[in-house]
Amino acid sequence: MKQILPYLPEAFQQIIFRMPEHDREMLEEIRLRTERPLELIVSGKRWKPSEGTELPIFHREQARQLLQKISKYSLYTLEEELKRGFVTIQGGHRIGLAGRVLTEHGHVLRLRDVTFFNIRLAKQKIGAALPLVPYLYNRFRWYNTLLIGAPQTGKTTMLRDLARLVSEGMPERYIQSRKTAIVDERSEIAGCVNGVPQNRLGSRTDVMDACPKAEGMMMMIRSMSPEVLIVDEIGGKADTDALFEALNAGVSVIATAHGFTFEQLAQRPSIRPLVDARLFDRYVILSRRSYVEQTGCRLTILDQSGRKMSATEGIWQ
Amino acid sequence: MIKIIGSLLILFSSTAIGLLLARRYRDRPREIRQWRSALQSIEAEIVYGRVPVDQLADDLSRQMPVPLSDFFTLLKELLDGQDLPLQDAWIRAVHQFWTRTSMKQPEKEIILQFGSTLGAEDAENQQRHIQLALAHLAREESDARQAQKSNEKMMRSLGVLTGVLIVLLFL
Repeated sequence: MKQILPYLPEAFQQIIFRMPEHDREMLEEIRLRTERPLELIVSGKRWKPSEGTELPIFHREQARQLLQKISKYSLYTLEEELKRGFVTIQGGHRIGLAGRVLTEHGHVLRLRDVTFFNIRLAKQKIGAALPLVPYLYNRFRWYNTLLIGAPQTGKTTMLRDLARLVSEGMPERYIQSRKTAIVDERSEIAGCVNGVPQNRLGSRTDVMDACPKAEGMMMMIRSMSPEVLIVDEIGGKADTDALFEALNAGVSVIATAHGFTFEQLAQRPSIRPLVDARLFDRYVILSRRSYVEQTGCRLTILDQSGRKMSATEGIWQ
Repeated sequence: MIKIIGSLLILFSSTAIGLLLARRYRDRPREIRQWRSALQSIEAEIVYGRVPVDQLADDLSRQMPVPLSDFFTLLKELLDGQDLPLQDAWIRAVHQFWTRTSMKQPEKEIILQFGSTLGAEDAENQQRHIQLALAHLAREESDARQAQKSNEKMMRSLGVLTGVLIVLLFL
């Protein structure tokens, strides 16, 4: 939170500063839209201020200043980010950007007038993946695993914690630490700033930041000899090919994919060959559950052929 | 005796004034040249390294010779210490720095103009602005050299000769 506040205009800082402690801790997103009032997302819902106070309007000039501050007054350092549409800042927080796009030959050249910002607060949940460990580790190796879930179900959180567990190992459970390689196309797992991970990932992790997944996986296998390879959001044809390569090279792969159910995912043309070839040993389905004022996550674990093994639920603080 | 000491004093001080004035003509092209090399390294850092401005200022404050290094130290202090936006910090640093140099108004305008574009564009446009500023500075530098050629020697000898003239008048 401390890393985010200096970016925001004074009035906005005040609002967040005066929020009830409980709400502030559960703050997930800060959304800013030009000429519209500030929006705060707390526990997945829009936050309403106490009676009588209005949320301040985000002005055009403030939008310009925010972008300048994000780039440390050096817009040219953000060229790649303005093309991808998001920036990762110190602390691993991500700022999504939208606005007017410049195109060239039908491809996005970059964003020009950035008028919408979505600041997603990174919250590393240390220990989130602990319930998974007994299902994913056996006989001194990590199973090839695919985490499946809709957006915002905590796939990436889970993946990040798995990466940490793999590279740190768990001496008390006789799980050895492993050489871990993360291909982090969207800078979401490691949250790198200038190539240095901002999240706790253990000491044996190598990160290829902002690298296209398919190429990154091959680069990692060739150059860094990982024992476990971690990738976010596989989906394309090229990803599938690279995964075949990795799995055949004897590297354990832990990956995530968008989807609601296993059946639905298994129908996707790019994923199907992987399922058919039984390359993944475990599938973990994540779904979001709402408890009273809290969000939790339900985990369902499936084996190689998609049979249910177990289901656990957990509440995230 | 007193007359001789007095006239020597006059001669000495007028020569010193002449040398000082001459130095301003000598330093101006040299300082413009320094600015040009600073802009060239800014260009390289931006185009190839995508180095943000605060780090640029830090690097240049160590690489550049005096007096230009002072400018970047000043800029860095204003950026980091006082948390000013780059444009304001640049303007303030230029104003403070210019009083300590031999450079004149035209160069100041060029540098101010350059500062208003710094950091606000992508690398390609940034490069164009730098090239523009470099071209302007090159022109100023050649002007300054011409002025140096015609005025430096003159100022120096003018100083001595004025001294001699005053001494002769008083004798």
